[in-house]
Amino acid sequence: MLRQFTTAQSRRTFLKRSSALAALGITTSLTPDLAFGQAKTDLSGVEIDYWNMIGVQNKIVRQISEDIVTAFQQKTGCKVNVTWNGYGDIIGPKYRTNFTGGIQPTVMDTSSRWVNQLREFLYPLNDYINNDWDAASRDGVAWMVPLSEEENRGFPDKDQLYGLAFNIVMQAPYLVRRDHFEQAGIDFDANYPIRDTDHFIELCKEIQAKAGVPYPTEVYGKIWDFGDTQLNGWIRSLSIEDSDFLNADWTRSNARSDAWKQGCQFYVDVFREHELSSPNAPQSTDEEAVDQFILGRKSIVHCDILNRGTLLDRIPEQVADGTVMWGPHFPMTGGTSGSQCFIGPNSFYIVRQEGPDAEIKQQAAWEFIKEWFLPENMSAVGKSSGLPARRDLWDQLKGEPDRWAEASIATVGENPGMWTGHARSVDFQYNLLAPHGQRMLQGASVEEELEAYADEVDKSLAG
Amino acid sequence: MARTIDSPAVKGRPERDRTRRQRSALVEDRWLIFVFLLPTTLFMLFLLWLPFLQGIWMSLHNWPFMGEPSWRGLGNYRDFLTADYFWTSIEATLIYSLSTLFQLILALAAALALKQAFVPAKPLLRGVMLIAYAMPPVVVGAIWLFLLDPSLGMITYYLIEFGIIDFPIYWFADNTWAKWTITLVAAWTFWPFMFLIILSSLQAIPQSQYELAEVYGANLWQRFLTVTWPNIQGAILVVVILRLAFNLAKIDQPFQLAGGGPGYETSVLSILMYRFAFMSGDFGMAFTVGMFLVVVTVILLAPFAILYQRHLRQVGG
Amino acid sequence: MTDDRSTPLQKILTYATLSVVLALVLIPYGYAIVTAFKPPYEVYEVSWWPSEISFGAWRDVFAINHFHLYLWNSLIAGLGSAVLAVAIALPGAYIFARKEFPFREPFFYIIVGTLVFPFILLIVPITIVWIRIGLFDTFLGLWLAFQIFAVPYSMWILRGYFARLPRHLEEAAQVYGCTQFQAFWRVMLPMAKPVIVSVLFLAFLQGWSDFLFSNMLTTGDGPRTAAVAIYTSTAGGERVEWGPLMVMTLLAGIPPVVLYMFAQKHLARTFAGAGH
Repeated sequence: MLRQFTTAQSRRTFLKRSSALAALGITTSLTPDLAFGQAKTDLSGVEIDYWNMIGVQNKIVRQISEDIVTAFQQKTGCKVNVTWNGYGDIIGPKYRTNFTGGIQPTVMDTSSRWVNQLREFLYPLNDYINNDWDAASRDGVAWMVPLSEEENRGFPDKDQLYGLAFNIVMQAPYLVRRDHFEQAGIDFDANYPIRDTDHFIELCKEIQAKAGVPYPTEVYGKIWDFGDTQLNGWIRSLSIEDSDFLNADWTRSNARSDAWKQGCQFYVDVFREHELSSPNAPQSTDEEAVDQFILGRKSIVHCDILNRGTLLDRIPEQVADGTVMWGPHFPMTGGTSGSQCFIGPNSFYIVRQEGPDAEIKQQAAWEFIKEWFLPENMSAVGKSSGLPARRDLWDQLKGEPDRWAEASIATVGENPGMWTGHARSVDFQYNLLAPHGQRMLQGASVEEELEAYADEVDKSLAG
Repeated sequence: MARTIDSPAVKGRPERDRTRRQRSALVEDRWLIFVFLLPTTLFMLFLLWLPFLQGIWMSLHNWPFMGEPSWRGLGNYRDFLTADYFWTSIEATLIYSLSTLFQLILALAAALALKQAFVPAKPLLRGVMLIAYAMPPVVVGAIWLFLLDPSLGMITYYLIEFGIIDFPIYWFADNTWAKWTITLVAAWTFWPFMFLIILSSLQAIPQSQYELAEVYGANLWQRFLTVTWPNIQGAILVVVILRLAFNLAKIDQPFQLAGGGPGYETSVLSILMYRFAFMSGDFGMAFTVGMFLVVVTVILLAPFAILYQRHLRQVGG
Repeated sequence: MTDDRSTPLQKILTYATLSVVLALVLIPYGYAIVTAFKPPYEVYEVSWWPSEISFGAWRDVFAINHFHLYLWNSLIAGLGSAVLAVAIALPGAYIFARKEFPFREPFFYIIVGTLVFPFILLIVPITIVWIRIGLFDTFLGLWLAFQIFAVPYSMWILRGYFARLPRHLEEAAQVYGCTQFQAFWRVMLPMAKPVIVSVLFLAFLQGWSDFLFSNMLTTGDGPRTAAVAIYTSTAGGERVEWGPLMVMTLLAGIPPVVLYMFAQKHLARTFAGAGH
């Protein structure tokens, strides 16, 4: 449901809405003049359907999404029908069932690793990118191309770029509370950023002992977060080739490797041996941990950068004065692979159109995507929701008191990984893995659980 | 007795002896039956029975979601029976179905209490009791997630305040607590359904029966046993059967609360089915689990259904 | 109302029971209501009265989430479901109750027996069929989908009620020259008002509260119901906003309760006696 601005509604409505964003330093391509000026007519008469997913994360991103759509409509005269979806819709049956039945959008955004179940419906973007885009934008995202190929390495047409990464969600930087460090008598600047897992444990224990925080950090067991936050980065810091869920040619699970065993053992130890995580660990989520962090009950939590929007919403003053800060993910002690991060970008996709106006609809979809990739829009989304995919915009995002951009960029590093884009990746990463993870957190043998998990994955790959 | 279509005088008469009027009445009768039954039959056939039979067919295959099937015979069944989560799931399902018992106790108690003549503001109280069932179960689930939250939930807060526990209970992280918590939340959500029907049944018991019992010197308990209980048996059986069936098929609320975990501890059969179908994309296994669920449902329902048939016969239905 | 001959014991038991049950119901729900009026930061503290009454969550719910639209959709979904349930189940139930024909009993139980079927498995086939025949994302599509669990038990309850009505009614009507159909329409139906209202109400609740089918069969622009909206706006990204959620629970709970006030009397008459 979009509100179209009419002159009657006027500047007041617009300013009231955008002032909330402006107060956070966020402006989009929707300017007051554009908001209630006349629509231009490049694409008038064209109508496209857009399935949005990025707006589900927090209010701010949703507002930005609405603004960008409005701006586009005003600029081009094209009508955009927006549907607001959530992650569950693509992880569950909804998208696939709809697509198969013929209900499809023209353009959509979603996390790239979940989209290959729909691969046959998508339209490759190579032509548009190479021939219909300005050089600055193209160069800015060029670094994602080889990563995209790695993600899709099991597909014969892996060089076809179906998705254009918009928003880099890196797993996983951490949030840290300066005030807890001070209470524990720890010199913050000397200990930030955290160097490695030994250093991390040391700091947590100090805070636990001296600042009276019973559970300074958290490891997550809930189905959506166990294999999706800090664990994978730790595994990757030990070994790059064994870090993904599947091996290079998608024939076997990597879970039997030493890297996995060590990484999982440490993850479990944070809870069971060092007692630094709450007893809720087998069912904890990173969102709950962030809530606790906001309430001042946790000190160092790993989470999606997407949570920045929540922080801006709930404790903007603490973000502004640097009480809460972001830090880059750190390797396991002794991990020398040089990388400690996977990225799960939110990407834009065009769905192949049929019929007489297929060409123009796809073109309109591409114009829409280009609108999103305008620097001001990318930055706006970035500030509440993750690094923009355009590297050239990164520098201007630095310098905030909570150092979110610096932490994110450092987490991404030089050699980030991309999770396998196998069509059943949802099963491997969440459904099959989580029960074993939960059991590990409850005390079962890490090695046995990983063996059992790997068996299940192999079976699924073979069958 | 009037000479209408159903009276023995008409139907008992040999065909050729029936009057023209009676014959056309018979035809109209058959036509009526046909037309009246048609919508329901067609509907159930196409929307339920066909997919159900197709489901049985799918359970004998390896059937990826929207993909190509391959025959497995009873392979899926064998895999499921030998999986380590088989018994966990059955146990979780049985415990979850106990919520029906809790619902019954609550409903019976509330209905009996509300039937008493001296209770004021009855309509208001009845409406209040209904609230939990009136909301979508996922909403109720969300409320309880909020209330039970170990750090900011009201329940945890007061349990600690009153010294009942020293540390917050992590309801969904503990194997046993998780199973019972989802069961109790289900009981809180669905008991008004039973309450409605049992109360209605109670309200229709003629006062004269109670007066008669009093004349014979029956005390409270005896009055309950001889007057109340026989009159509400039917209603109780109806609601138990319905709620058992519906609870066993419930997915949204328990999955929202515990995510099927930890491990598979709260993956009742219906949740397991959902996970296979929509997270593993394996419809063959999903329907296999579905068949088990049907079997479990039938087994649990059967005693009550038999009792109900017997009850009907006794009352002359 | 006879004069009150209840004993003190009865009174104690009754009031004790009522207190327990009311506490069980009202304390959780009451806390949710109180939370709906709290300012955002206070949601995270346990308090029974907001330090200041805040409508911030309310504003969010209507302005950002456009909740009023979804409530309206839920209402339509529920009402349509109710009417259809009666329309489909009533004729059949009448026949099963009043007419003899071969295999009547087994046939009846085949229909009612579908209650044991796990409905979740039907989501995908139904969605695909609905898309193909154009029922996707429509109210009619929702109404028909809800019938899958509404019709079996509606038929059960309706048949029971019809079976208990005195036989001589139709016969009397026919003596006066009514056809079968007229007897049904003008005599039986009016007598069946209580059970019809009851089935309407129960089927309405099914439609109002359903989540799984409503989620699959609608998109954001279509008849998305409140249940789905609550889920996607507060838990779809796995971030739960407690304040707005509590507001939505309030709103989602009230209409059915209001409807119940109207349906109460009829519910009583339906389930009178042995509840067949």
